[in-house]
Amino acid sequence: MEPLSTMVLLASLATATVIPSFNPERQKKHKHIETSINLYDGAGIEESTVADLTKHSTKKTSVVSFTNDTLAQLDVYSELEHGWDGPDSVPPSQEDIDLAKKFVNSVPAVFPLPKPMLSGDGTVGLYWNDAHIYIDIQFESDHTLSMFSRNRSSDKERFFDSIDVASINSNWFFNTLGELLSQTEDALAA
Amino acid sequence: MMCIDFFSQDRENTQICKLLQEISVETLLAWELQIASKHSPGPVRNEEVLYRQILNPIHYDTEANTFTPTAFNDASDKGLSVNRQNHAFEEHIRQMANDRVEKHNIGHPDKPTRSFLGLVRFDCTDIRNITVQPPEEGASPVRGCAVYDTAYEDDQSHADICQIVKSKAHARSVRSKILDLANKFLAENPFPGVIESV
Repeated sequence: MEPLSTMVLLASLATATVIPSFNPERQKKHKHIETSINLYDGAGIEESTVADLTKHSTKKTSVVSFTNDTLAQLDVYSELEHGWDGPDSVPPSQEDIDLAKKFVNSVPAVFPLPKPMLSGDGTVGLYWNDAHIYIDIQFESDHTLSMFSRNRSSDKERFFDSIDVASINSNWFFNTLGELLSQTEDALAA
Repeated sequence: MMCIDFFSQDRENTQICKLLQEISVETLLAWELQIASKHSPGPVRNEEVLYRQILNPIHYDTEANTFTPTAFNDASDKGLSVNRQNHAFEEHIRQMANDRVEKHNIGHPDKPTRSFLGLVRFDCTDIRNITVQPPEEGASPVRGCAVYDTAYEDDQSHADICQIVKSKAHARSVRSKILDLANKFLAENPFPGVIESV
Protein backbone atom coordinates (compact mmCIF):
# COMPACT_ATOMS: atom_id res chain seq x y z
CA MET A 1 0.00 0.00 0.00
CA GLU A 2 1.26 3.44 -0.84
CA PRO A 3 2.19 5.57 2.18
CA LEU A 4 -0.13 8.39 1.24
CA SER A 5 -3.13 6.16 0.88
CA THR A 6 -2.19 4.44 4.11
CA MET A 7 -2.00 7.76 5.86
CA VAL A 8 -5.37 8.76 4.51
CA LEU A 9 -6.84 5.56 5.85
CA LEU A 10 -5.11 6.04 9.19
CA ALA A 11 -6.29 9.58 9.33
CA SER A 12 -9.81 8.42 8.91
CA LEU A 13 -9.34 6.03 11.81
CA ALA A 14 -7.80 8.44 14.22
CA THR A 15 -7.96 11.86 15.77
CA ALA A 16 -5.69 14.54 14.37
CA THR A 17 -2.97 16.01 16.54
CA VAL A 18 0.28 17.81 15.80
CA ILE A 19 3.74 16.65 16.76
CA PRO A 20 5.51 19.61 18.31
CA SER A 21 9.02 18.57 17.33
CA PHE A 22 8.48 19.70 13.77
CA ASN A 23 8.54 23.32 12.70
CA PRO A 24 4.95 24.52 12.83
CA GLU A 25 5.70 27.21 10.27
CA ARG A 26 6.88 24.54 7.89
CA GLN A 27 3.63 22.69 8.32
CA LYS A 28 1.75 25.69 7.00
CA LYS A 29 3.64 25.51 3.74
CA HIS A 30 3.07 21.87 2.97
CA LYS A 31 0.18 19.79 2.09
CA HIS A 32 0.30 17.28 4.87
CA ILE A 33 -1.74 14.82 6.79
CA GLU A 34 -1.79 14.77 10.53
CA THR A 35 -2.68 11.59 12.27
CA SER A 36 -2.84 10.29 15.76
CA ILE A 37 -2.45 6.55 15.83
CA ASN A 38 -1.51 3.79 18.17
CA LEU A 39 2.12 2.77 17.97
CA TYR A 40 3.48 -0.72 17.78
CA ASP A 41 4.40 -1.77 21.30
CA GLY A 42 6.99 -4.45 20.55
CA ALA A 43 4.66 -7.40 20.21
CA GLY A 44 5.44 -9.64 17.27
CA ILE A 45 4.01 -8.43 14.02
CA GLU A 46 4.78 -10.60 11.05
CA GLU A 47 3.62 -8.17 8.45
CA SER A 48 2.27 -4.83 9.44
CA THR A 49 -0.96 -3.62 8.02
CA VAL A 50 -3.28 -0.89 9.13
CA ALA A 51 -5.28 -3.50 11.01
CA ASP A 52 -2.12 -4.82 12.67
CA LEU A 53 -1.09 -1.36 13.73
CA THR A 54 -4.31 -0.72 15.55
CA LYS A 55 -4.63 -4.25 16.89
CA HIS A 56 -1.19 -4.39 18.53
CA SER A 57 -1.05 -0.92 19.87
CA THR A 58 -0.98 0.30 23.39
CA LYS A 59 0.78 3.63 23.06
CA LYS A 60 -0.37 6.74 21.37
CA THR A 61 1.68 9.06 19.26
CA SER A 62 1.18 11.50 16.46
CA VAL A 63 2.96 12.03 13.20
CA VAL A 64 3.16 14.51 10.40
CA SER A 65 4.44 13.47 7.00
CA PHE A 66 5.54 15.87 4.32
CA THR A 67 4.90 13.99 1.15
CA ASN A 68 6.68 14.63 -2.14
CA ASP A 69 9.43 16.90 -0.81
CA THR A 70 11.88 14.07 -0.30
CA LEU A 71 11.14 12.35 -3.59
CA ALA A 72 11.32 15.63 -5.47
CA GLN A 73 14.68 16.46 -3.95
CA LEU A 74 16.01 13.01 -4.83
CA ASP A 75 14.96 13.69 -8.40
CA VAL A 76 16.99 16.91 -8.30
CA TYR A 77 20.04 14.86 -7.36
CA SER A 78 19.76 12.93 -10.60
CA GLU A 79 20.34 16.16 -12.53
CA LEU A 80 23.70 16.87 -10.91
CA GLU A 81 26.92 16.60 -12.85
CA HIS A 82 30.54 15.89 -12.06
CA GLY A 83 31.96 18.70 -9.94
CA TRP A 84 28.65 19.64 -8.34
CA ASP A 85 30.30 19.99 -4.92
CA GLY A 86 33.87 20.81 -5.78
CA PRO A 87 36.34 19.52 -8.35
CA ASP A 88 36.38 15.94 -7.08
CA SER A 89 32.69 15.51 -6.46
CA VAL A 90 30.66 13.05 -8.46
CA PRO A 91 26.92 12.79 -9.02
CA PRO A 92 25.00 9.91 -7.48
CA SER A 93 24.11 6.90 -9.55
CA GLN A 94 20.53 6.63 -10.70
CA GLU A 95 20.48 3.20 -9.11
CA ASP A 96 21.21 4.68 -5.66
CA ILE A 97 18.62 7.40 -6.17
CA ASP A 98 16.06 4.77 -7.08
CA LEU A 99 16.99 2.75 -4.00
CA ALA A 100 16.50 5.80 -1.83
CA LYS A 101 13.15 6.54 -3.44
CA LYS A 102 12.08 2.96 -2.94
CA PHE A 103 13.10 3.21 0.70
CA VAL A 104 11.12 6.42 1.15
CA ASN A 105 8.08 4.85 -0.44
CA SER A 106 8.33 1.91 1.93
CA VAL A 107 8.38 4.01 5.10
CA PRO A 108 5.25 3.01 7.03
CA ALA A 109 2.76 5.80 7.31
CA VAL A 110 3.16 6.01 11.07
CA PHE A 111 6.65 7.42 10.62
CA PRO A 112 7.55 10.90 9.45
CA LEU A 113 9.34 10.85 6.13
CA PRO A 114 13.12 11.33 6.12
CA LYS A 115 14.89 14.12 4.28
CA PRO A 116 17.46 13.49 1.58
CA MET A 117 21.17 14.21 1.71
CA LEU A 118 24.03 13.76 -0.72
CA SER A 119 27.78 13.40 -0.27
CA GLY A 120 30.42 14.75 -2.60
CA ASP A 121 31.39 11.18 -3.44
CA GLY A 122 27.88 10.57 -4.75
CA THR A 123 26.61 8.67 -1.75
CA VAL A 124 22.88 9.14 -1.32
CA GLY A 125 21.40 9.26 2.15
CA LEU A 126 18.31 10.03 4.15
CA TYR A 127 17.95 11.48 7.62
CA TRP A 128 15.61 12.42 10.41
CA ASN A 129 16.75 15.16 12.76
CA ASP A 130 14.70 16.84 15.44
CA ALA A 131 14.95 17.80 19.09
CA HIS A 132 14.63 14.17 20.18
CA ILE A 133 16.30 11.95 17.64
CA TYR A 134 18.94 11.96 14.96
CA ILE A 135 18.99 9.16 12.40
CA ASP A 136 20.97 9.00 9.19
CA ILE A 137 20.96 6.33 6.54
CA GLN A 138 23.48 5.89 3.74
CA PHE A 139 23.00 3.74 0.69
CA GLU A 140 26.20 1.90 -0.08
CA SER A 141 27.34 0.77 -3.50
CA ASP A 142 26.58 -2.91 -2.89
CA HIS A 143 22.82 -2.60 -2.36
CA THR A 144 23.24 -2.33 1.36
CA LEU A 145 22.68 0.53 3.72
CA SER A 146 24.15 1.68 6.98
CA MET A 147 22.28 3.49 9.71
CA PHE A 148 23.46 5.66 12.57
CA SER A 149 21.15 6.97 15.26
CA ARG A 150 21.35 8.98 18.42
CA ASN A 151 18.66 9.35 21.01
CA ARG A 152 19.13 12.91 22.15
CA SER A 153 17.58 12.24 25.54
CA SER A 154 19.86 9.38 26.53
CA ASP A 155 22.72 10.21 24.13
CA LYS A 156 22.65 6.53 23.21
CA GLU A 157 24.08 5.89 19.79
CA ARG A 158 23.53 2.90 17.53
CA PHE A 159 25.11 1.92 14.25
CA PHE A 160 24.07 -0.80 11.82
CA ASP A 161 26.09 -1.66 8.75
CA SER A 162 25.65 -3.83 5.66
CA ILE A 163 21.89 -4.05 5.84
CA ASP A 164 20.58 -5.64 2.68
CA VAL A 165 18.22 -3.11 1.12
CA ALA A 166 16.11 -5.96 -0.22
CA SER A 167 15.43 -7.05 3.34
CA ILE A 168 13.82 -3.76 4.32
CA ASN A 169 10.17 -4.19 5.12
CA SER A 170 7.73 -2.74 7.60
CA ASN A 171 9.04 -5.02 10.34
CA TRP A 172 12.50 -3.56 9.86
CA PHE A 173 11.18 -0.07 10.30
CA PHE A 174 9.31 -0.96 13.46
CA ASN A 175 12.13 -2.99 14.95
CA THR A 176 14.84 -0.48 14.12
CA LEU A 177 13.11 2.87 14.35
CA GLY A 178 10.11 2.15 16.53
CA GLU A 179 12.06 2.47 19.76
CA LEU A 180 13.37 5.85 18.71
CA LEU A 181 9.89 7.09 18.00
CA SER A 182 8.79 5.77 21.36
CA GLN A 183 11.52 7.78 22.97
CA THR A 184 10.31 10.80 21.08
CA GLU A 185 6.86 10.20 22.41
CA ASP A 186 8.18 9.88 25.96
CA ALA A 187 10.07 13.11 25.56
CA LEU A 188 6.95 14.83 24.36
CA ALA A 189 4.94 13.47 27.23
CA ALA A 190 7.51 14.50 29.85
CA MET B 1 57.52 12.80 11.47
CA MET B 2 56.52 16.34 12.34
CA CYS B 3 53.10 17.79 11.64
CA ILE B 4 54.44 20.14 8.97
CA ASP B 5 56.17 17.24 7.20
CA PHE B 6 52.93 15.30 6.95
CA PHE B 7 50.88 18.20 5.67
CA SER B 8 53.60 19.36 3.26
CA GLN B 9 53.77 15.89 1.77
CA ASP B 10 50.05 15.17 1.45
CA ARG B 11 48.52 18.62 1.26
CA GLU B 12 46.73 18.03 -2.02
CA ASN B 13 45.60 14.51 -1.17
CA THR B 14 41.81 14.53 -1.17
CA GLN B 15 41.85 11.67 1.32
CA ILE B 16 44.28 13.29 3.72
CA CYS B 17 42.03 12.70 6.73
CA LYS B 18 42.00 8.98 5.95
CA LEU B 19 45.79 9.08 6.14
CA LEU B 20 45.59 10.92 9.46
CA GLN B 21 43.31 8.21 10.81
CA GLU B 22 46.13 5.70 10.40
CA ILE B 23 48.28 7.67 12.85
CA SER B 24 47.98 7.31 16.61
CA VAL B 25 45.61 9.70 18.34
CA GLU B 26 48.38 10.73 20.70
CA THR B 27 50.49 11.88 17.77
CA LEU B 28 47.58 13.65 16.10
CA LEU B 29 46.78 15.57 19.25
CA ALA B 30 50.44 16.48 19.73
CA TRP B 31 50.47 17.79 16.16
CA GLU B 32 47.76 20.29 17.06
CA LEU B 33 50.43 22.11 19.05
CA GLN B 34 52.76 22.25 16.06
CA ILE B 35 52.46 24.24 12.85
CA ALA B 36 51.17 22.41 9.80
CA SER B 37 52.29 24.93 7.20
CA LYS B 38 55.25 27.24 6.75
CA HIS B 39 52.73 30.01 6.11
CA SER B 40 50.97 29.44 9.41
CA PRO B 41 50.75 32.26 11.94
CA GLY B 42 50.79 29.58 14.65
CA PRO B 43 48.85 26.52 15.82
CA VAL B 44 45.11 26.94 16.31
CA ARG B 45 44.30 27.67 19.93
CA ASN B 46 41.22 26.32 21.68
CA GLU B 47 39.73 29.76 22.22
CA GLU B 48 39.84 30.68 18.53
CA VAL B 49 36.78 31.20 16.36
CA LEU B 50 36.57 29.39 13.03
CA TYR B 51 34.36 30.24 10.07
CA ARG B 52 33.16 27.81 7.44
CA GLN B 53 32.10 29.23 4.09
CA ILE B 54 28.83 27.71 2.88
CA LEU B 55 28.70 27.75 -0.90
CA ASN B 56 26.49 24.89 -1.97
CA PRO B 57 22.75 25.27 -1.47
CA ILE B 58 22.17 21.55 -1.82
CA HIS B 59 23.47 21.02 1.71
CA TYR B 60 21.13 23.58 3.17
CA ASP B 61 17.44 23.17 3.93
CA THR B 62 16.03 26.64 3.45
CA GLU B 63 12.65 25.77 4.91
CA ALA B 64 13.97 24.29 8.12
CA ASN B 65 17.02 26.58 8.26
CA THR B 66 19.24 23.60 8.93
CA PHE B 67 22.09 21.85 7.19
CA THR B 68 22.06 18.32 5.88
CA PRO B 69 24.42 15.93 7.67
CA THR B 70 26.59 15.72 4.56
CA ALA B 71 27.30 19.46 4.61
CA PHE B 72 30.42 18.84 6.65
CA ASN B 73 31.58 15.57 5.11
CA ASP B 74 34.89 17.14 4.11
CA ALA B 75 36.05 16.60 7.68
CA SER B 76 36.16 12.88 6.94
CA ASP B 77 38.32 12.99 3.83
CA LYS B 78 39.90 16.16 2.39
CA GLY B 79 39.60 18.22 5.57
CA LEU B 80 36.91 20.76 6.37
CA SER B 81 38.33 24.13 5.38
CA VAL B 82 37.72 26.95 7.81
CA ASN B 83 39.10 30.44 8.35
CA ARG B 84 40.48 31.66 11.66
CA GLN B 85 38.88 34.84 12.88
CA ASN B 86 42.11 35.89 14.56
CA HIS B 87 43.86 36.03 11.21
CA ALA B 88 41.24 37.36 8.81
CA PHE B 89 38.52 39.95 9.16
CA GLU B 90 35.07 38.48 8.71
CA GLU B 91 34.45 40.76 5.75
CA HIS B 92 37.62 39.46 4.14
CA ILE B 93 36.44 35.88 4.60
CA ARG B 94 33.13 36.80 2.99
CA GLN B 95 35.00 38.42 0.11
CA MET B 96 37.10 35.27 -0.36
CA ALA B 97 33.90 33.22 -0.48
CA ASN B 98 32.32 35.54 -3.02
CA ASP B 99 35.48 35.43 -5.12
CA ARG B 100 35.43 31.64 -5.10
CA VAL B 101 31.81 31.59 -6.20
CA GLU B 102 32.44 34.13 -8.95
CA LYS B 103 35.45 32.20 -10.19
CA HIS B 104 33.44 28.98 -10.29
CA ASN B 105 30.48 30.52 -12.06
CA ILE B 106 32.65 32.23 -14.67
CA GLY B 107 34.74 29.12 -15.20
CA HIS B 108 31.76 26.79 -15.44
CA PRO B 109 29.00 28.64 -17.28
CA ASP B 110 27.47 25.33 -18.30
CA LYS B 111 26.97 24.18 -14.71
CA PRO B 112 24.46 25.29 -12.11
CA THR B 113 25.56 28.56 -10.55
CA ARG B 114 26.81 28.59 -7.01
CA SER B 115 26.09 31.19 -4.41
CA PHE B 116 27.63 32.16 -1.13
CA LEU B 117 25.00 31.49 1.51
CA GLY B 118 26.92 32.69 4.52
CA LEU B 119 29.42 31.79 7.20
CA VAL B 120 29.00 29.27 9.97
CA ARG B 121 30.91 29.97 13.13
CA PHE B 122 32.53 27.23 15.15
CA ASP B 123 34.32 27.69 18.43
CA CYS B 124 37.49 25.65 18.14
CA THR B 125 37.03 24.33 21.63
CA ASP B 126 33.61 22.90 20.70
CA ILE B 127 35.13 21.06 17.76
CA ARG B 128 37.92 19.71 19.93
CA ASN B 129 35.42 18.67 22.57
CA ILE B 130 33.70 16.31 20.15
CA THR B 131 34.33 12.80 21.43
CA VAL B 132 33.28 9.29 20.57
CA GLN B 133 32.90 6.30 22.83
CA PRO B 134 35.14 3.30 22.11
CA PRO B 135 33.28 -0.02 22.12
CA GLU B 136 35.34 -1.47 24.95
CA GLU B 137 33.46 -1.45 28.23
CA GLY B 138 34.70 1.22 30.60
CA ALA B 139 36.87 2.90 28.00
CA SER B 140 37.17 6.66 28.14
CA PRO B 141 35.80 8.76 25.27
CA VAL B 142 38.34 9.70 22.62
CA ARG B 143 38.68 12.86 20.57
CA GLY B 144 36.82 12.76 17.27
CA CYS B 145 38.30 15.79 15.53
CA ALA B 146 41.53 17.70 15.33
CA VAL B 147 42.13 21.22 14.04
CA TYR B 148 45.30 22.07 12.15
CA ASP B 149 46.68 25.41 10.93
CA THR B 150 46.92 24.53 7.25
CA ALA B 151 47.62 28.05 6.07
CA TYR B 152 48.23 28.95 2.44
CA GLU B 153 50.59 31.62 1.20
CA ASP B 154 47.64 33.71 0.09
CA ASP B 155 45.39 32.76 3.00
CA GLN B 156 47.14 32.58 6.32
CA SER B 157 43.83 32.17 8.11
CA HIS B 158 43.15 28.78 6.54
CA ALA B 159 42.78 25.80 8.86
CA ASP B 160 41.31 22.33 8.55
CA ILE B 161 38.98 20.36 10.78
CA CYS B 162 39.86 16.70 10.40
CA GLN B 163 38.00 13.67 11.65
CA ILE B 164 40.65 11.52 13.34
CA VAL B 165 38.62 8.45 14.30
CA LYS B 166 38.46 5.67 11.78
CA SER B 167 35.42 3.47 12.27
CA LYS B 168 32.25 4.14 10.29
CA ALA B 169 30.19 4.35 13.45
CA HIS B 170 32.51 6.92 14.97
CA ALA B 171 32.65 8.86 11.70
CA ARG B 172 28.87 9.15 11.66
CA SER B 173 28.85 10.18 15.30
CA VAL B 174 31.39 12.92 14.64
CA ARG B 175 29.47 14.11 11.60
CA SER B 176 26.25 14.39 13.56
CA LYS B 177 27.97 16.40 16.28
CA ILE B 178 29.55 18.86 13.83
CA LEU B 179 26.10 19.17 12.29
CA ASP B 180 24.58 19.94 15.69
CA LEU B 181 27.11 22.72 16.29
CA ALA B 182 26.41 24.22 12.87
CA ASN B 183 22.65 23.98 13.22
CA LYS B 184 22.81 25.56 16.64
CA PHE B 185 24.69 28.50 15.19
CA LEU B 186 22.27 28.72 12.29
CA ALA B 187 19.24 28.69 14.56
CA GLU B 188 20.55 31.81 16.25
CA ASN B 189 22.04 33.37 13.13
CA PRO B 190 19.91 32.53 10.08
CA PHE B 191 21.44 33.26 6.73
CA PRO B 192 20.35 36.58 5.23
CA GLY B 193 17.03 36.30 3.46
CA VAL B 194 16.11 33.09 5.19
CA ILE B 195 14.07 34.46 8.05
CA GLU B 196 11.33 35.60 5.71
CA SER B 197 11.08 32.26 3.97
CA VAL B 198 10.98 30.01 7.04
